Amino acid sequence: MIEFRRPLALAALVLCLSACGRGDAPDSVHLRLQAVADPVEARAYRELIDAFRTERPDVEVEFVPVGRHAEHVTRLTTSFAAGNAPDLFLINFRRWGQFIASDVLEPVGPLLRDAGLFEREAFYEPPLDGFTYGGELICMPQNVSSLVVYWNRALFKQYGVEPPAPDWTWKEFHDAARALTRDLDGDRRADLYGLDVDPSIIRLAPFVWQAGGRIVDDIHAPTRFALRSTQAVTGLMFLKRLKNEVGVIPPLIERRAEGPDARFIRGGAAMTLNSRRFSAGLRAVDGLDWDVAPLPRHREAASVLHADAYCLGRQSRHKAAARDFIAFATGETGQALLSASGRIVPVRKSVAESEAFLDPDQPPASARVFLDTIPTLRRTPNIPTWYEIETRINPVIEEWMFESAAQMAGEANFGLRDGYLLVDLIEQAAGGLLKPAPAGGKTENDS
Amino acid sequence: MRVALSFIRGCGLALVGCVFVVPLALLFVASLHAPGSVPVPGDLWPASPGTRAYQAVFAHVPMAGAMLNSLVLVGLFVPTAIVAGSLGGLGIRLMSPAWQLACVTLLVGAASVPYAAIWLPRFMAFQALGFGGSWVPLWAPALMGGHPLLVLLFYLAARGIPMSQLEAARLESAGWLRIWWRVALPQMRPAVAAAALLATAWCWSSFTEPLLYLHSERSQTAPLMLHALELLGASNWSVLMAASMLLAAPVVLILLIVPFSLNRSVGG
Repeated sequence: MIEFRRPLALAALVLCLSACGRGDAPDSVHLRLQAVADPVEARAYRELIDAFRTERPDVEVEFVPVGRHAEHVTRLTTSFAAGNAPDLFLINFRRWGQFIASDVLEPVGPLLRDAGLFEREAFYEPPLDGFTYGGELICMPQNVSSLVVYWNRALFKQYGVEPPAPDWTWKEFHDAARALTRDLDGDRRADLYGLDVDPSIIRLAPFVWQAGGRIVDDIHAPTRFALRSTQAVTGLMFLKRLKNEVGVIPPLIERRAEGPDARFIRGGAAMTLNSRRFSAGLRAVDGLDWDVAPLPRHREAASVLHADAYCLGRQSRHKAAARDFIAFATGETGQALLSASGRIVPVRKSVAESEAFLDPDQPPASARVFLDTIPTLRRTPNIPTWYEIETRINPVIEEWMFESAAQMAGEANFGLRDGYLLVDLIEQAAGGLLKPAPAGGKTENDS
Repeated sequence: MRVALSFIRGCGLALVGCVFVVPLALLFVASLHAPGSVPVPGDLWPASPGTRAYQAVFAHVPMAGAMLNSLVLVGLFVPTAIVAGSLGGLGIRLMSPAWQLACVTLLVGAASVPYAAIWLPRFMAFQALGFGGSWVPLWAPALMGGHPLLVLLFYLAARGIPMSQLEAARLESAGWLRIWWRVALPQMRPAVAAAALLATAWCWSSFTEPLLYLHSERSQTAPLMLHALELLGASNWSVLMAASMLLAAPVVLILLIVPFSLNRSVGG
């Protein structure tokens, strides 16, 4: 008898462990939605799901929050390989390329259009364009953020610096950053910096465009970087000059101790560059008087698109239900619910223009800046290798931006040659990744 | 002279201990900052220390449930790993020298395989078996001793048991399970304590496997909740530090208790 009991006990344990975390209702459609979400954002998604459930009680949506983008992508790639991917997932447009390459996405645009659930003019165009590939809308955008200037109103006022104008220029930006950089204790080192920023291609790209340059030769079918021009190099050099020649950005040793976000929150930097997501974190800070302004302009105004979209896995067995959920989440109710979290700029124009987003009781006071910036938005190429390109060139840019004092002394008179040096480094690190065609022979120009 | 040497040795050990205590102390101090503030570099002690960050952890994520899940998982994983690992170690000990060498080589080889090389086949295998979304994939490695190095540890401990003892017990008609329980295990107590310590630390802090296998928030473990808090950003670092402190505390407690019991069992 004992011999029988042991295997039975083991089987019971395995069954018990198998049951942990499972609660599928057998009679309803079960969808899984995976997204990168902090706890506040996760609550907003759960409210969205509850609201959807009241309209569609036959569809159960399980929300799977993931804490970081890298783990989000790891989990997605693993589950796609094993044939157990979530039905729906949210992803940033700079990271979705690898899923195009592996051809695992069901185009959402045709599904929505065929069901009469999609009116293109109701949404902002740049994110729709960002998630279009091969002439089809592959994933449905839910937000349209951009890079803007976060500025400390109290510090501007304290040091008598004019607030940023809607059409301020590189010169005015430079002057404000200079006026706000202060040595407060007389030790000949700045205690307050005019600006702090993470050097990466996504932060430098708007300055390249503002100077009249380009990042790649053809945004739709890039074959090489197009940074080897005076305009592009001028844009690349703008922030580095602010750091080296004007001294308004903290040096490496101080950045190692404190990042741009923390420095801005503490009041150690008067300006920083970030997307809408940063607003939500700042709302939680007591006593910080802040607002947003557009990026300064040079030859022209430009900012960079930040957007996330709902993608549908090709292997999903419930495509119609998933389509309906996407339509609800990007509809009036869904967009208003997500706007309340303060993390997104709604992609639906009517919600973006409503108090759900432009809430006068919530900072930033100039939330409209995010909407006014939309016509100037440009994007990086949405090719399968773009995420890898960013991964390779961002460390190169950081090293170039914060190179050692000895190197800086040698390059003090290099002028634009220093910018061309960066172009060389970028091309060496990732130039080869722009050439290969995507898997399956599908190109973005196909329609 | 002996007293002086003992004193110097004690001071040396205390100094080494301090090196490991400092990061924990910094973590604790950072967790005392109020949410919505950031620590100023150089200013260690917050202006108004408090436990609001700890309260925020439980308000933001279901940390209590996740810690309970982690605790249950450790409670299932560690005893299974010790039973399987010690049986495996004894089994290898009873083999011929040539087979012992082969098994040790195999164990070292298995321990050297990068995790990234096996996570996809394992994930696919568990999905095929219908265990996706459950705790079975997290517990299953315990059935093979938890980790090849733990089996190796038990094998080394079993080598210290004289073969004559095992053979004498066999002559007394004891079965191998009885020999393992009554003869081998009592003599492997230090190895059991060390293996329990290592298995607890691995299982408690495991992140990748719960990330890959667990879907429902109700079944998620504490490290996943910690990572969820990371996205709150610089304005909530103290919340992240408080959650880190909550996760570190049980391991530190075990690290303090196990060496003590290890000393007693070796001494006893």
